Amino acid sequence: MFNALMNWFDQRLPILSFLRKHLSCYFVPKNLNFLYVFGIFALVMCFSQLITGIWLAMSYTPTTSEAFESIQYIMRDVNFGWLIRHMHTTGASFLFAILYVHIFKAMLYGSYQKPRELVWLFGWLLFALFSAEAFTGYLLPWGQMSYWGAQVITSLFEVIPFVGDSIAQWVRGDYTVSEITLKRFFALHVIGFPVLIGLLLFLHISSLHHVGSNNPKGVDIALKLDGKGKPLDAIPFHPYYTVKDLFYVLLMLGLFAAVVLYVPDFWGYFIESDNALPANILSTPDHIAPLWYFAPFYSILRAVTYPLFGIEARFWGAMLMYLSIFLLALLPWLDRSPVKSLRYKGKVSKFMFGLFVISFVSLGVCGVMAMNATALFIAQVSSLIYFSYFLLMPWFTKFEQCQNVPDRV
Amino acid sequence: MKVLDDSAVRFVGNIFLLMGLMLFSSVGLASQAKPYYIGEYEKNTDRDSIERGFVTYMQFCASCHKSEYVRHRRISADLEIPWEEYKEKWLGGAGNLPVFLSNSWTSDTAKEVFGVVPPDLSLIAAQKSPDWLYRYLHSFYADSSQPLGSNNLLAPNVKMPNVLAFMQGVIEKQSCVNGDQKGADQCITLVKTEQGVMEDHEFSAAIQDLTNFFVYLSEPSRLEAELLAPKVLLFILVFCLIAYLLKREFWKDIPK
Repeated sequence: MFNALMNWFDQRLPILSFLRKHLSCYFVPKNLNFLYVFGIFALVMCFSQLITGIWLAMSYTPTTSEAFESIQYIMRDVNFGWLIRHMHTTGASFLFAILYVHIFKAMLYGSYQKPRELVWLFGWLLFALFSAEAFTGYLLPWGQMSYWGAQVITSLFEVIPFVGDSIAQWVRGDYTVSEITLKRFFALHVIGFPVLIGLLLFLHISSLHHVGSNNPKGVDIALKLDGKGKPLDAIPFHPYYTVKDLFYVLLMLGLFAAVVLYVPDFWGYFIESDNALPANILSTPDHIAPLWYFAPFYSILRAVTYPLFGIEARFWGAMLMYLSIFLLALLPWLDRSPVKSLRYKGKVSKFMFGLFVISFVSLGVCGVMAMNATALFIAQVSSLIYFSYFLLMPWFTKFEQCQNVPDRV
Repeated sequence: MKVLDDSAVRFVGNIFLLMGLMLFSSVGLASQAKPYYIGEYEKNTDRDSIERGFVTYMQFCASCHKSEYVRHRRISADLEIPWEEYKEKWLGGAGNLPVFLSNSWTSDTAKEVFGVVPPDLSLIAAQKSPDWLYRYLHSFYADSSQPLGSNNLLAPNVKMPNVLAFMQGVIEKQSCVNGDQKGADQCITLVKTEQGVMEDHEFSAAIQDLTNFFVYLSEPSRLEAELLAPKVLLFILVFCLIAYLLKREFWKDIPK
């Protein structure tokens, strides 16, 4: 009976063959390590953000007079509203932490190289969209830091010569961040960006499943097939990786639950104390800082202190910040190494990657600190290393001596 | 002889009493000169402490400050005070009962009287840290140059009067170096010059309770979250263990 029903469906909509193609007959290298579960983590957190977001939107009011109050209403009067909101705020930080490890893994094992350039590009676009999603979402509580953070970032457009003011006004819909800005950010946060994120997730995973996963050794598993055409070093995604992922996802959810239930503000890093004050357009906080996950890029923005060609430093800082994100997209073409994984790349690549990771973390630390001379100097040096890594890559990857990649995983 | 003995004993006793009193007062004077010590805030979510803090709040804070995001019913439920008892004690019994922790001040009248609208305290512990609140409530000192006779080391020229002074005693500001020396303005300590109705440790305990109440007020769900946390974590842990065993069983098939 059940089989007959499934067959009836399958003849009209190929559910079974779809599941077979993407789960039980989707072959994955058998040597994927812990770093490879972060993609699934990101997917789980996206789902959590979607569900908690829907429930938050049921009680949130996007007006300047009621936004802050409606958050307090959710926190105090809605059944389990506090849990839903803290899952959403913690979820945003978790998602970015997961994305950074996911990107680190791709860079470590050269997962952006041929034939996975599109997987990387869709992933890069997803990162940009998640950033936009987080930025628009951060304005919604209408706290002091929400307001002034949005004010600082939207005012970056003002420094563009000739058309800056018009662009900033176009983004905000007003001369300053106002209720119009709040409403359009709300619309983009709950409808615009999530739809685009959904589409990009589909493209990211579809393109990955078309070319298959890379692995820590960067060995191409499609080159060694058995008699039936199945890769010798691969195992089906289901059940092997589904059970492995289930275990790691539960571990991650355990950590997530501990943060949500015990330290949802994460000592001021996930929810800032200034945001417990309603937005006040007449009182600028002493120290305006973005949330920790934007800190490395914010640090690059602040590291530029010299005006050039008669245009103020903020403009060049903003340009460098956008360039730092854009350079990531070019990675598949900047890396000319014949091998994928850092394990078999030359010493210069290893040294430069180490420096890059240190510079990125240093930029992050400087970005959450109040500006002082030492932090500025560290941020400037780190920015220099960050850009050098990308701009020198075509040379050091081409001329260095690489090790031989084994045939099998 | 017996009479003489008694009077001699009484005389010697009086001498000792006088010496004791002199010793006591000199110790008292010496302690006056000692800097006023403010301990550290210790975070806890003990309901009894929060309830004691609530009583202090209702007696000394609520008449000027509002906490308009907080419902009376919620406090009665969270602190397990029966609603009838709560109503009778804090809301004057029957009649038109207020829903939120509010008072009758309007912004205009409050501004007229205090020169500033007393801040809403619903989120005060989230805006300022609990440690800051704890120290702030200890750091008032007598200052005749201020309209209400008091000032605060942590918030100079604050408009709030020192309403808890009768508990704490009189605290005065003193420079820790001689007036004419360099840095006299920067180095300031508080000294206690008059005893209040509470000993120092009793007052600190009262402030600890009050701060705990403010922490609760900022996030009432914390009590619920910390009750829920062990259950959720235990559930995930058990589920995790089963998932691990399942994973191990399946991966036995895969040669290294």
